[in-house]
Amino acid sequence: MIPLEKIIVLNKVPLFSTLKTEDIHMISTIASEEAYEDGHTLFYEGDIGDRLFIVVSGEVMILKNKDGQERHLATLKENDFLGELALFDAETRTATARCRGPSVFLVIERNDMEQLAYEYPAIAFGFIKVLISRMRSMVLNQRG
Amino acid sequence: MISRFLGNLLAIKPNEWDGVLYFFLVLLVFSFGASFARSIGMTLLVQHLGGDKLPIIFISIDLAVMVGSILYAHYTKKTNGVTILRFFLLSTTGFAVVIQFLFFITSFNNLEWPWVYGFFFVGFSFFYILISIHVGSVIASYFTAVQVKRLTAVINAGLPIGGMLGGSTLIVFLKIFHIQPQHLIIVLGWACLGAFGLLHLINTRLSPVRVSRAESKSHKNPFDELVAAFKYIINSKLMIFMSLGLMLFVIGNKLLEYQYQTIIYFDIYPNATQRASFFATYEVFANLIWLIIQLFLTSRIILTLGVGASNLLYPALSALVALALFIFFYLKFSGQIQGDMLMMLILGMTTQFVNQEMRGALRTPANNLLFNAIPPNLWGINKAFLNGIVYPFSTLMAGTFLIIIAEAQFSIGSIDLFWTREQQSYLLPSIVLGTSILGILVALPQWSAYNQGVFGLLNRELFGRHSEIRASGRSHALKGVLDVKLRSDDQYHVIAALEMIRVLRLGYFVTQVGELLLKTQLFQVKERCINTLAALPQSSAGINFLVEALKSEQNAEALPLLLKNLAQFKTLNINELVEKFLTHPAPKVLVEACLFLYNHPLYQAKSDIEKKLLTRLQQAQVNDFPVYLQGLGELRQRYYSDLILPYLDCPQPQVRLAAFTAYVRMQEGYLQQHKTRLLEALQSSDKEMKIVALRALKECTLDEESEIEWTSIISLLGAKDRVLVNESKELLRLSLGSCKGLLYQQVFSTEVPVQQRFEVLSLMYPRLTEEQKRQLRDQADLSLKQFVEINGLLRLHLASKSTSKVYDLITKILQEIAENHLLQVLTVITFAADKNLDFFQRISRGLFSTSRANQGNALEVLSNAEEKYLSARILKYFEEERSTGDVQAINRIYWLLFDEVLKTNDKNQEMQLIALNHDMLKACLFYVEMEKTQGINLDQLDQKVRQFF
Repeated sequence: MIPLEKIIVLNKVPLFSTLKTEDIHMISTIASEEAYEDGHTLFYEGDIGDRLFIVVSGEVMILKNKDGQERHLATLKENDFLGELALFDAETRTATARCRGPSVFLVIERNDMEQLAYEYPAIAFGFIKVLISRMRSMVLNQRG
Repeated sequence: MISRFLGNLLAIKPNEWDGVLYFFLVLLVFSFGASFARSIGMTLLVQHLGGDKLPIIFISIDLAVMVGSILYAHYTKKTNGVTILRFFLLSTTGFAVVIQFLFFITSFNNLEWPWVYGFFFVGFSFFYILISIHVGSVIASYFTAVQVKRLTAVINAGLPIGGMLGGSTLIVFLKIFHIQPQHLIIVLGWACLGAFGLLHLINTRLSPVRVSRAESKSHKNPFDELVAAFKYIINSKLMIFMSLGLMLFVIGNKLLEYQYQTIIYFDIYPNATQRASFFATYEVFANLIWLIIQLFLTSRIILTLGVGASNLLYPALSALVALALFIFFYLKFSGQIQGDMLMMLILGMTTQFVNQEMRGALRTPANNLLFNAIPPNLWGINKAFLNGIVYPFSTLMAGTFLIIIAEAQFSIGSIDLFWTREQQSYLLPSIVLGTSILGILVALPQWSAYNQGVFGLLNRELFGRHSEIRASGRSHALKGVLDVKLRSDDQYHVIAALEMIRVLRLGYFVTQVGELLLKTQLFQVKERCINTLAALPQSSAGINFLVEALKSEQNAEALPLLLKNLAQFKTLNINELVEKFLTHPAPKVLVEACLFLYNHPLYQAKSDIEKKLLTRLQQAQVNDFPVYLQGLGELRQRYYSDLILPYLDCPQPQVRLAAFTAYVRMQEGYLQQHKTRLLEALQSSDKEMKIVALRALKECTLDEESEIEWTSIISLLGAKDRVLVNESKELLRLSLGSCKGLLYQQVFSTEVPVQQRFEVLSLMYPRLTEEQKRQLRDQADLSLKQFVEINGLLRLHLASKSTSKVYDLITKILQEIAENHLLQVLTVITFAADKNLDFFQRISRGLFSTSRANQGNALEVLSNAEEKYLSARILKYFEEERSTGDVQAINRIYWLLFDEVLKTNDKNQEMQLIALNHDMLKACLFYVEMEKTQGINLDQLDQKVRQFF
């Protein structure tokens, strides 16, 4: 994937879409491309999360363990992302993520993101805006 | 064709037609029915109850409105504005049906129920006043601040037109069809139902721009709401001036009305029939002139002068007529003029026109626009206060005064308050002259309060107004909230309360914070307690708490904080206590203890401290180097600087930074010889290092001729970090004499990034000549031109609906380039209008906001700014662009603004995009080609573009 294509993908992800192109360009420099085969597990429920995955192609099943059985919660497709909270804290994953068919991802490590946000506060501020707007809509949904 | 003609004539944009028409019709239909009800109601009332009952009726109306306003204020906080208006209209319809039924019963059964007529008049007036109060809020919520300024007069023209149509139709019904007036009350019900239907259409077809309902549900009862409203009003300068202005207006208005009704017209037309015939003729012409003024002049006046200044006009007009009346009647009273009836008639008509028609055509619209500066969720409460309390109270004052001077044999001591008609004829205008002049004096600060209010709506921040909180009654409520939060079980609530106490420096909480420090086991809370105690106004209680905590504290992270904060108090001698920490294993504790003792005036063994630090540094692990280096630096002893040098090349950035900081501290006073090292540090990737270097460079003399030296400092003005920006700015300010040549170049360069140029201008603008300022404005106009051109390109790009993967990215890049050009214009406006960074940030945030309300507020603030040329052009752009968003619209705006044809079209679009010289955009265009041809030849690209592939 060429750098411009990384920017194109990142620009479509809601978490980054409100950032300036210059900032997205910065983030693209720390995003690495990873490809996995069908059935590969990206992470298990209970793992410590430290990576954000953006689906470039393919599909990912989100599974929740209940009474020893994996229950399918959702399927993520192109431009969906998972594990965004892992960019901000090191809590455990709340579900298992597994590839359905060959899939390609852009992956961002928490440490790299932290370093970037420290050097470019505008990026951190952009995230705050996105998180606040999500919080607002959650509050409104609760009220509504 | 007609709509375009009318649109140009009445300044209505194509996308505004629906809103204007619907609301105009709502007002027209309602006013049609109301004119029936008012005329019939008054006639029947006088006929059945007699004129002597009028004062009781008026008092009843005032009381009913007062109670209604309190309830109204309560519900505006909870319910949508349109819903309230629909409720009022439905209630009026129901009321009209009931009254019509009662009128039929009384009429067919020949019943003597005079109270029915009083009940009708009071009830109708109650609904009429409440609807009149509320409808303005509903209209305003569907338009932005600048739109409502332009459109309010046209929409409000529905009232006089509806009134005239209603009056004429009533005459036809009465004179031609000979229908009894009491059978026509139902027309009011039909009219309200019609207006209700129109509101339904508005609700389904239009969306409000400004929300007039509170975001959170209020659980207060109406009385508490009223108290809260009073508190808000007392703290709002604008509301205080609006209340005072209304009071003065009502008093002046009532006295003038008395003057022309009972003195002037009564003298000229002693016969009642003659008077009635005069009034009928006057009403026709006066209403016509009112309509013409309202449609064609009001908006233009408000747009030209602005809302604040427009509110000066009515009291000025009122003062002029009062002065003319005073002069005329005084001369008449003193016998210098005799029997000049024509002059008196002209004066009477002019006074009535100003008092009645100009009130509707000018005062009401201009005054209603002041609500732009009040948060929409508070409109209801404020309107209820003004109309439900201030207005009736002022009417009562004026009425009582008139009764006293005209009828009562009232005297205080030897002063007889009874005035003869001759005395009244010139004394009343002299009082009105006084109230009008006071009105002008109130309108002046009201103007500035309005501008501040609109600006404040762009971004309301708590901490920006902390002085206001401390000074006002709000501090009491705030203390209560903080008190509760400090006792909370949730540590984040406690932390938030501590942060607020620290920022607001609320010394009242010193004991609570101190006790919390001694009690808590959580480091996060301890840390905030220590910082808060240190920030509060100095007191022995605060120091005692810190010392007590130092004695009992075991946490190695809290101890250095305690030591550091206690070191501020030089008169405090706790050296013995602190000496115990010299053996503490934690590096931070040891360093802070060393620094405490080393800097204490009574401590003697300073060389022991130096040795202690050096020994610990030599024995330390790499991770602990920064702490010891920082401690050593703070000793500020130059003879240790050689010892520091090896650490400057350490691979760990934290160690390098600490060593550099220590080195600078040690060399203070001798930094000139280390200038090269400091300038090199400006190229570091570590911003802290740059900050230390910048601070140190203030001590050095930089070479006036060396462009490299200055450029490295100037470029930091564009840094993302505010501290870095401030430090470089401070350094440049100190050396302005040496670097101003280079700064001048930056002022006139559009290649310089916006933020950097803004900071450069903040240094240089006061030093520019008038010619240079004009040049800067022309350059900003050029940026505006580019902004419009890029928006043309953007529209073409959006219209292409390409399926390319880079379609969205190109859209975003174009938006950013356009924004950048607009920011260059706003930068120049900010300085030309003598404003600051806060103004620039709020305006730009407002203009780029997706909320139309914010955009409207930003445009309103811009239109009030002292810079008029560029602001007016931006206003024009946004108003036109909002109306139609296609490329033709951009073309039209370009022609309007620059008298030139926009050269952008789909044939030269790509060329123009390349000409923007934006690397990522070029890469995107190349990518589009790549998608088409599936081939790639990177050789034709320059290095910067190639990095994207």
